[in-house]
Amino acid sequence: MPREALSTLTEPMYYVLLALVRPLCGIEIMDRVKDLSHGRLAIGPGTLYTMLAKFEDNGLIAPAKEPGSSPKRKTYVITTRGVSFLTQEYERLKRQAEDGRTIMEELV
Amino acid sequence: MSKDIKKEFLPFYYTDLSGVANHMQTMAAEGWKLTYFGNYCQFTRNDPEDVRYDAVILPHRSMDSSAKDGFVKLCEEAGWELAGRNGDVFLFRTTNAGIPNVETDPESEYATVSEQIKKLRRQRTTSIIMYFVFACAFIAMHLFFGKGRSFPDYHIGLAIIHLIAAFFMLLAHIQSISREKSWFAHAKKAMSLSKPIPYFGEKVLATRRRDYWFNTITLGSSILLLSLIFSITVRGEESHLFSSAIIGSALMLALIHIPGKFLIKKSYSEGKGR
Repeated sequence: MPREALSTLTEPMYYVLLALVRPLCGIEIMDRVKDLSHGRLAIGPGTLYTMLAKFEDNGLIAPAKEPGSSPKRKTYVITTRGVSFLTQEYERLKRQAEDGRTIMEELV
Repeated sequence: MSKDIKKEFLPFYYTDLSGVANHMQTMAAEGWKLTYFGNYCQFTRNDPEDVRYDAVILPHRSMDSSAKDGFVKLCEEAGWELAGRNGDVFLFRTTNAGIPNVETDPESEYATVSEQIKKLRRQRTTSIIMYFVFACAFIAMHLFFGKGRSFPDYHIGLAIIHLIAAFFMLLAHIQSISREKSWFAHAKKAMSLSKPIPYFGEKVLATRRRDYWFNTITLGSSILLLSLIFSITVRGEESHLFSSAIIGSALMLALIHIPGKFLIKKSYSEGKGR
Protein backbone atom coordinates (compact mmCIF):
# COMPACT_ATOMS: atom_id res chain seq x y z
CA MET A 1 0.00 0.00 0.00
CA PRO A 2 1.47 3.39 -0.89
CA ARG A 3 2.31 5.53 2.08
CA GLU A 4 -0.29 8.20 2.58
CA ALA A 5 1.40 11.32 3.90
CA LEU A 6 -0.19 13.04 6.86
CA SER A 7 -0.36 16.83 6.72
CA THR A 8 -2.30 17.70 9.87
CA LEU A 9 -3.88 15.68 12.64
CA THR A 10 -7.57 15.33 13.37
CA GLU A 11 -8.61 15.66 17.00
CA PRO A 12 -8.70 11.88 17.68
CA MET A 13 -5.30 11.48 15.95
CA TYR A 14 -3.81 14.19 18.13
CA TYR A 15 -4.98 12.50 21.31
CA VAL A 16 -3.79 9.07 20.19
CA LEU A 17 -0.29 10.42 19.53
CA LEU A 18 -0.37 12.18 22.91
CA ALA A 19 -1.33 8.90 24.57
CA LEU A 20 1.54 7.08 22.89
CA VAL A 21 4.30 9.04 24.61
CA ARG A 22 4.44 5.89 26.67
CA PRO A 23 4.07 2.34 25.30
CA LEU A 24 0.43 1.24 25.26
CA CYS A 25 -1.65 -1.49 23.64
CA GLY A 26 -4.90 -0.85 21.78
CA ILE A 27 -7.36 -0.98 24.64
CA GLU A 28 -5.03 1.06 26.86
CA ILE A 29 -4.82 3.75 24.17
CA MET A 30 -8.62 3.98 24.09
CA ASP A 31 -8.75 4.39 27.87
CA ARG A 32 -5.90 6.88 27.89
CA VAL A 33 -7.51 9.04 25.18
CA LYS A 34 -10.70 9.13 27.24
CA ASP A 35 -8.71 10.23 30.30
CA LEU A 36 -6.68 12.84 28.42
CA SER A 37 -9.82 14.37 26.92
CA HIS A 38 -11.62 14.23 30.28
CA GLY A 39 -14.18 11.78 28.91
CA ARG A 40 -15.04 14.01 25.95
CA LEU A 41 -13.54 11.78 23.28
CA ALA A 42 -14.26 8.07 22.84
CA ILE A 43 -12.44 6.28 20.04
CA GLY A 44 -13.90 3.11 18.56
CA PRO A 45 -11.59 0.13 17.96
CA GLY A 46 -12.07 0.23 14.18
CA THR A 47 -11.12 3.88 14.02
CA LEU A 48 -8.13 3.29 16.28
CA TYR A 49 -6.95 0.35 14.22
CA THR A 50 -7.00 2.37 10.98
CA MET A 51 -5.24 5.23 12.71
CA LEU A 52 -2.47 3.04 14.16
CA ALA A 53 -1.85 1.48 10.73
CA LYS A 54 -1.62 4.94 9.16
CA PHE A 55 0.73 6.22 11.88
CA GLU A 56 2.93 3.14 11.56
CA ASP A 57 3.05 3.52 7.75
CA ASN A 58 4.18 7.12 8.23
CA GLY A 59 6.79 6.18 10.81
CA LEU A 60 5.13 8.20 13.59
CA ILE A 61 4.77 5.19 15.89
CA ALA A 62 6.48 1.82 16.12
CA PRO A 63 5.79 -1.48 17.86
CA ALA A 64 7.30 -1.50 21.34
CA LYS A 65 8.63 -4.52 23.15
CA GLU A 66 7.66 -4.08 26.75
CA PRO A 67 9.24 -6.46 29.29
CA GLY A 68 6.53 -8.56 30.89
CA SER A 69 3.84 -7.53 28.40
CA SER A 70 1.63 -10.18 26.83
CA PRO A 71 2.97 -11.28 23.42
CA LYS A 72 -0.62 -11.45 22.20
CA ARG A 73 -1.09 -7.73 22.72
CA LYS A 74 0.70 -5.43 20.31
CA THR A 75 2.12 -2.39 22.05
CA TYR A 76 3.02 0.85 20.29
CA VAL A 77 5.09 3.88 21.19
CA ILE A 78 5.69 7.21 19.50
CA THR A 79 8.92 7.54 17.44
CA THR A 80 11.28 10.53 17.21
CA ARG A 81 9.60 11.46 13.95
CA GLY A 82 6.23 11.18 15.71
CA VAL A 83 7.38 13.44 18.56
CA SER A 84 8.57 16.06 16.05
CA PHE A 85 5.23 15.84 14.17
CA LEU A 86 3.25 16.07 17.42
CA THR A 87 5.31 19.10 18.52
CA GLN A 88 4.62 20.85 15.21
CA GLU A 89 0.93 20.12 15.60
CA TYR A 90 0.94 21.36 19.20
CA GLU A 91 2.65 24.59 18.12
CA ARG A 92 0.13 25.04 15.32
CA LEU A 93 -2.81 24.59 17.69
CA LYS A 94 -1.20 26.91 20.25
CA ARG A 95 -0.70 29.62 17.62
CA GLN A 96 -4.31 29.25 16.52
CA ALA A 97 -5.53 29.61 20.11
CA GLU A 98 -3.26 32.62 20.68
CA ASP A 99 -4.33 34.26 17.43
CA GLY A 100 -7.95 33.93 18.43
CA ARG A 101 -7.50 34.88 22.07
CA THR A 102 -7.89 38.71 21.80
CA ILE A 103 -10.99 38.44 19.65
CA MET A 104 -12.54 35.64 21.70
CA GLU A 105 -11.96 37.44 24.97
CA GLU A 106 -13.87 40.42 23.60
CA LEU A 107 -16.69 38.15 22.44
CA VAL A 108 -17.10 36.12 25.61
CA MET B 1 -36.39 -26.83 8.00
CA SER B 2 -36.60 -26.77 11.75
CA LYS B 3 -38.80 -24.10 13.29
CA ASP B 4 -35.86 -23.16 15.46
CA ILE B 5 -33.66 -22.30 12.49
CA LYS B 6 -34.31 -19.57 9.99
CA LYS B 7 -32.30 -18.92 6.83
CA GLU B 8 -32.56 -15.60 5.13
CA PHE B 9 -31.17 -14.32 1.85
CA LEU B 10 -29.57 -10.95 2.60
CA PRO B 11 -28.13 -9.10 -0.37
CA PHE B 12 -26.73 -5.73 0.68
CA TYR B 13 -24.26 -3.07 -0.42
CA TYR B 14 -21.63 -1.05 1.37
CA THR B 15 -24.17 1.77 1.57
CA ASP B 16 -26.50 -0.36 3.74
CA LEU B 17 -24.29 -1.10 6.76
CA SER B 18 -26.63 0.47 9.33
CA GLY B 19 -29.56 -1.32 7.72
CA VAL B 20 -27.80 -4.66 8.23
CA ALA B 21 -26.93 -3.86 11.86
CA ASN B 22 -30.47 -2.67 12.59
CA HIS B 23 -31.93 -5.79 11.00
CA MET B 24 -29.83 -8.03 13.23
CA GLN B 25 -30.95 -6.02 16.26
CA THR B 26 -34.58 -6.45 15.25
CA MET B 27 -34.08 -10.19 14.77
CA ALA B 28 -32.36 -10.47 18.19
CA ALA B 29 -35.21 -8.57 19.83
CA GLU B 30 -37.65 -11.01 18.20
CA GLY B 31 -35.71 -13.96 19.63
CA TRP B 32 -33.55 -14.91 16.63
CA LYS B 33 -29.84 -15.17 17.29
CA LEU B 34 -27.54 -14.80 14.30
CA THR B 35 -25.41 -17.93 13.90
CA TYR B 36 -24.10 -17.33 10.39
CA PHE B 37 -23.55 -14.09 8.53
CA GLY B 38 -23.19 -14.24 4.76
CA ASN B 39 -25.27 -13.76 1.63
CA TYR B 40 -27.51 -16.28 3.36
CA CYS B 41 -27.81 -15.63 7.08
CA GLN B 42 -28.78 -18.27 9.58
CA PHE B 43 -30.64 -17.53 12.80
CA THR B 44 -31.47 -19.89 15.64
CA ARG B 45 -34.35 -19.52 18.08
CA ASN B 46 -33.23 -17.83 21.26
CA ASP B 47 -34.58 -15.68 24.08
CA PRO B 48 -35.27 -12.12 22.91
CA GLU B 49 -32.15 -10.04 23.54
CA ASP B 50 -31.38 -6.35 23.63
CA VAL B 51 -28.21 -6.47 21.58
CA ARG B 52 -26.36 -3.74 19.71
CA TYR B 53 -24.92 -4.64 16.33
CA ASP B 54 -22.39 -2.71 14.30
CA ALA B 55 -21.39 -3.52 10.72
CA VAL B 56 -18.09 -2.13 9.51
CA ILE B 57 -15.86 -2.56 6.52
CA LEU B 58 -12.42 -3.95 7.07
CA PRO B 59 -10.18 -0.93 7.54
CA HIS B 60 -6.76 -0.60 5.93
CA ARG B 61 -6.63 -2.58 2.70
CA SER B 62 -3.25 -4.23 3.01
CA MET B 63 -4.07 -6.22 6.12
CA ASP B 64 -2.92 -9.82 6.13
CA SER B 65 -4.71 -12.52 8.12
CA SER B 66 -2.76 -11.87 11.34
CA ALA B 67 -3.57 -8.17 11.09
CA LYS B 68 -7.24 -9.04 10.55
CA ASP B 69 -7.11 -11.13 13.69
CA GLY B 70 -5.49 -8.17 15.45
CA PHE B 71 -8.37 -5.93 14.35
CA VAL B 72 -10.95 -8.42 15.62
CA LYS B 73 -9.03 -8.87 18.86
CA LEU B 74 -8.91 -5.13 19.47
CA CYS B 75 -12.66 -4.91 18.89
CA GLU B 76 -13.19 -7.80 21.29
CA GLU B 77 -11.05 -6.13 23.94
CA ALA B 78 -13.15 -3.02 23.49
CA GLY B 79 -16.28 -5.06 24.22
CA TRP B 80 -17.46 -6.04 20.72
CA GLU B 81 -17.93 -9.72 19.87
CA LEU B 82 -17.49 -10.77 16.24
CA ALA B 83 -20.88 -12.06 15.09
CA GLY B 84 -19.80 -12.87 11.55
CA ARG B 85 -17.99 -11.76 8.48
CA ASN B 86 -19.00 -11.51 4.84
CA GLY B 87 -16.04 -10.58 2.65
CA ASP B 88 -14.72 -7.25 3.88
CA VAL B 89 -17.78 -6.57 6.05
CA PHE B 90 -17.37 -7.42 9.73
CA LEU B 91 -20.43 -7.65 11.92
CA PHE B 92 -19.97 -7.12 15.65
CA ARG B 93 -22.41 -7.31 18.54
CA THR B 94 -22.43 -6.28 22.16
CA THR B 95 -24.81 -6.15 25.07
CA ASN B 96 -22.90 -3.20 26.52
CA ALA B 97 -24.74 0.01 25.70
CA GLY B 98 -21.95 2.23 27.05
CA ILE B 99 -19.09 1.46 24.68
CA PRO B 100 -18.43 3.55 21.55
CA ASN B 101 -19.22 2.25 18.07
CA VAL B 102 -16.51 0.36 16.23
CA GLU B 103 -16.05 3.31 13.89
CA THR B 104 -16.16 6.73 15.55
CA ASP B 105 -14.29 8.91 13.09
CA PRO B 106 -16.55 9.88 10.15
CA GLU B 107 -13.52 10.90 8.09
CA SER B 108 -11.73 7.56 8.28
CA GLU B 109 -15.02 5.66 7.90
CA TYR B 110 -15.85 7.65 4.77
CA ALA B 111 -12.38 6.97 3.37
CA THR B 112 -12.72 3.21 3.97
CA VAL B 113 -16.24 2.86 2.55
CA SER B 114 -15.64 5.12 -0.45
CA GLU B 115 -12.46 3.21 -1.29
CA GLN B 116 -14.46 -0.04 -1.33
CA ILE B 117 -17.24 1.47 -3.43
CA LYS B 118 -14.72 2.76 -5.98
CA LYS B 119 -13.09 -0.66 -6.09
CA LEU B 120 -16.48 -2.27 -6.73
CA ARG B 121 -17.18 0.23 -9.52
CA ARG B 122 -13.93 -0.72 -11.24
CA GLN B 123 -14.81 -4.42 -10.91
CA ARG B 124 -18.28 -3.85 -12.39
CA THR B 125 -16.88 -1.83 -15.29
CA THR B 126 -14.29 -4.54 -16.00
CA SER B 127 -16.99 -7.24 -15.93
CA ILE B 128 -19.17 -5.34 -18.40
CA ILE B 129 -16.23 -4.86 -20.77
CA MET B 130 -15.29 -8.53 -20.45
CA TYR B 131 -18.84 -9.67 -21.24
CA PHE B 132 -18.87 -7.49 -24.37
CA VAL B 133 -15.43 -8.72 -25.41
CA PHE B 134 -16.48 -12.36 -24.97
CA ALA B 135 -19.71 -11.78 -26.91
CA CYS B 136 -17.75 -10.19 -29.77
CA ALA B 137 -15.24 -13.03 -29.67
CA PHE B 138 -17.98 -15.66 -30.00
CA ILE B 139 -19.58 -13.77 -32.92
CA ALA B 140 -16.16 -13.44 -34.58
CA MET B 141 -15.53 -17.16 -34.10
CA HIS B 142 -18.80 -17.90 -35.85
CA LEU B 143 -18.12 -15.46 -38.72
CA PHE B 144 -14.58 -16.66 -39.39
CA PHE B 145 -14.68 -20.33 -38.51
CA GLY B 146 -18.33 -21.26 -38.95
CA LYS B 147 -18.40 -20.62 -42.72
CA GLY B 148 -19.45 -23.54 -44.86
CA ARG B 149 -19.88 -25.82 -41.91
CA SER B 150 -22.86 -26.60 -39.81
CA PHE B 151 -23.84 -23.60 -37.76
CA PRO B 152 -22.19 -23.76 -34.30
CA ASP B 153 -25.13 -23.03 -32.04
CA TYR B 154 -23.13 -22.76 -28.91
CA HIS B 155 -21.10 -19.82 -30.27
CA ILE B 156 -24.21 -17.76 -30.90
CA GLY B 157 -25.82 -19.04 -27.68
CA LEU B 158 -22.82 -17.93 -25.66
CA ALA B 159 -22.72 -14.59 -27.49
CA ILE B 160 -26.40 -14.00 -26.64
CA ILE B 161 -25.88 -14.89 -22.99
CA HIS B 162 -22.85 -12.61 -22.71
CA LEU B 163 -24.52 -9.70 -24.49
CA ILE B 164 -27.61 -9.88 -22.30
CA ALA B 165 -25.50 -10.26 -19.16
CA ALA B 166 -23.45 -7.20 -20.21
CA PHE B 167 -26.61 -5.21 -20.88
CA PHE B 168 -28.10 -6.10 -17.48
CA MET B 169 -24.84 -5.40 -15.71
CA LEU B 170 -24.72 -2.02 -17.41
CA LEU B 171 -28.24 -1.24 -16.18
CA ALA B 172 -27.36 -2.43 -12.67
CA HIS B 173 -24.16 -0.37 -12.82
CA ILE B 174 -26.09 2.80 -13.72
CA GLN B 175 -28.58 2.07 -10.91
CA SER B 176 -25.73 1.51 -8.43
CA ILE B 177 -23.92 4.69 -9.46
CA SER B 178 -27.04 6.74 -8.76
CA ARG B 179 -27.46 5.06 -5.34
CA GLU B 180 -23.77 5.55 -4.52
CA LYS B 181 -23.86 9.20 -5.60
CA SER B 182 -26.69 9.78 -3.15
CA TRP B 183 -24.68 8.07 -0.39
CA PHE B 184 -21.52 10.07 -1.23
CA ALA B 185 -23.46 13.35 -1.05
CA HIS B 186 -25.02 12.53 2.34
CA ALA B 187 -21.78 11.10 3.74
CA LYS B 188 -19.74 14.14 2.69
CA LYS B 189 -22.27 16.43 4.33
CA ALA B 190 -22.20 14.38 7.54
CA MET B 191 -18.41 14.32 7.50
CA SER B 192 -18.18 18.11 7.18
CA LEU B 193 -20.43 18.42 10.23
CA SER B 194 -18.51 15.67 12.13
CA LYS B 195 -21.73 13.67 12.35
CA PRO B 196 -21.96 9.88 11.98
CA ILE B 197 -21.89 8.66 8.38
CA PRO B 198 -25.47 7.89 7.32
CA TYR B 199 -26.36 4.62 5.61
CA PHE B 200 -29.57 3.30 4.16
CA GLY B 201 -31.78 1.79 6.86
CA GLU B 202 -33.28 -1.64 7.54
CA LYS B 203 -36.18 -1.17 5.13
CA VAL B 204 -33.81 -1.02 2.20
CA LEU B 205 -32.89 -4.70 2.67
CA ALA B 206 -36.33 -5.83 1.49
CA THR B 207 -35.91 -3.63 -1.59
CA ARG B 208 -32.47 -5.10 -2.28
CA ARG B 209 -33.88 -8.64 -2.03
CA ARG B 210 -36.79 -7.81 -4.31
CA ASP B 211 -34.49 -6.09 -6.84
CA TYR B 212 -32.11 -9.03 -6.76
CA TRP B 213 -34.78 -11.59 -7.59
CA PHE B 214 -36.40 -9.31 -10.16
CA ASN B 215 -33.07 -8.79 -11.94
CA THR B 216 -32.17 -12.48 -11.80
CA ILE B 217 -35.54 -13.62 -13.13
CA THR B 218 -35.60 -10.92 -15.82
CA LEU B 219 -32.07 -11.79 -16.89
CA GLY B 220 -32.81 -15.54 -17.01
CA SER B 221 -36.10 -15.02 -18.85
CA SER B 222 -34.48 -12.72 -21.41
CA ILE B 223 -31.78 -15.28 -22.15
CA LEU B 224 -34.33 -18.07 -22.52
CA LEU B 225 -36.74 -16.00 -24.59
CA LEU B 226 -34.09 -14.79 -27.02
CA SER B 227 -32.65 -18.28 -27.30
CA LEU B 228 -36.12 -19.67 -28.03
CA ILE B 229 -36.82 -17.01 -30.67
CA PHE B 230 -33.42 -17.61 -32.23
CA SER B 231 -33.94 -21.38 -32.22
CA ILE B 232 -37.35 -21.19 -33.89
CA THR B 233 -36.75 -18.42 -36.41
CA VAL B 234 -33.15 -19.00 -37.44
CA ARG B 235 -32.16 -22.54 -36.62
CA GLY B 236 -35.32 -24.51 -36.96
CA GLU B 237 -36.12 -27.67 -35.00
CA GLU B 238 -32.60 -29.07 -35.00
CA SER B 239 -31.20 -26.37 -32.78
CA HIS B 240 -29.90 -27.26 -29.32
CA LEU B 241 -29.62 -23.62 -28.37
CA PHE B 242 -32.75 -23.44 -26.23
CA SER B 243 -31.89 -26.50 -24.16
CA SER B 244 -28.30 -25.24 -23.84
CA ALA B 245 -29.56 -21.88 -22.58
CA ILE B 246 -31.84 -23.55 -20.01
CA ILE B 247 -28.97 -25.65 -18.70
CA GLY B 248 -26.64 -22.62 -18.73
CA SER B 249 -29.08 -20.41 -16.82
CA ALA B 250 -29.84 -23.15 -14.29
CA LEU B 251 -26.12 -23.67 -13.73
CA MET B 252 -25.58 -19.93 -13.24
CA LEU B 253 -28.34 -19.77 -10.62
CA ALA B 254 -27.10 -22.92 -8.91
CA LEU B 255 -23.55 -21.60 -8.73
CA ILE B 256 -24.75 -18.38 -7.14
CA HIS B 257 -27.17 -19.88 -4.62
CA ILE B 258 -26.26 -23.43 -3.69
CA PRO B 259 -23.00 -22.60 -1.91
CA GLY B 260 -24.66 -19.91 0.18
CA LYS B 261 -27.82 -21.74 1.09
CA PHE B 262 -26.71 -25.28 1.69
CA LEU B 263 -23.09 -25.05 2.67
CA ILE B 264 -23.50 -23.03 5.85
CA LYS B 265 -20.99 -24.77 8.03
CA LYS B 266 -19.22 -22.48 10.41
CA SER B 267 -20.11 -19.57 12.52
CA TYR B 268 -18.06 -17.01 14.36
CA SER B 269 -20.67 -16.98 17.08
CA GLU B 270 -19.66 -20.55 17.81
CA GLY B 271 -16.05 -19.46 18.07
CA LYS B 272 -15.01 -20.75 14.66
CA GLY B 273 -13.34 -18.72 11.95
CA ARG B 274 -13.97 -18.88 8.25
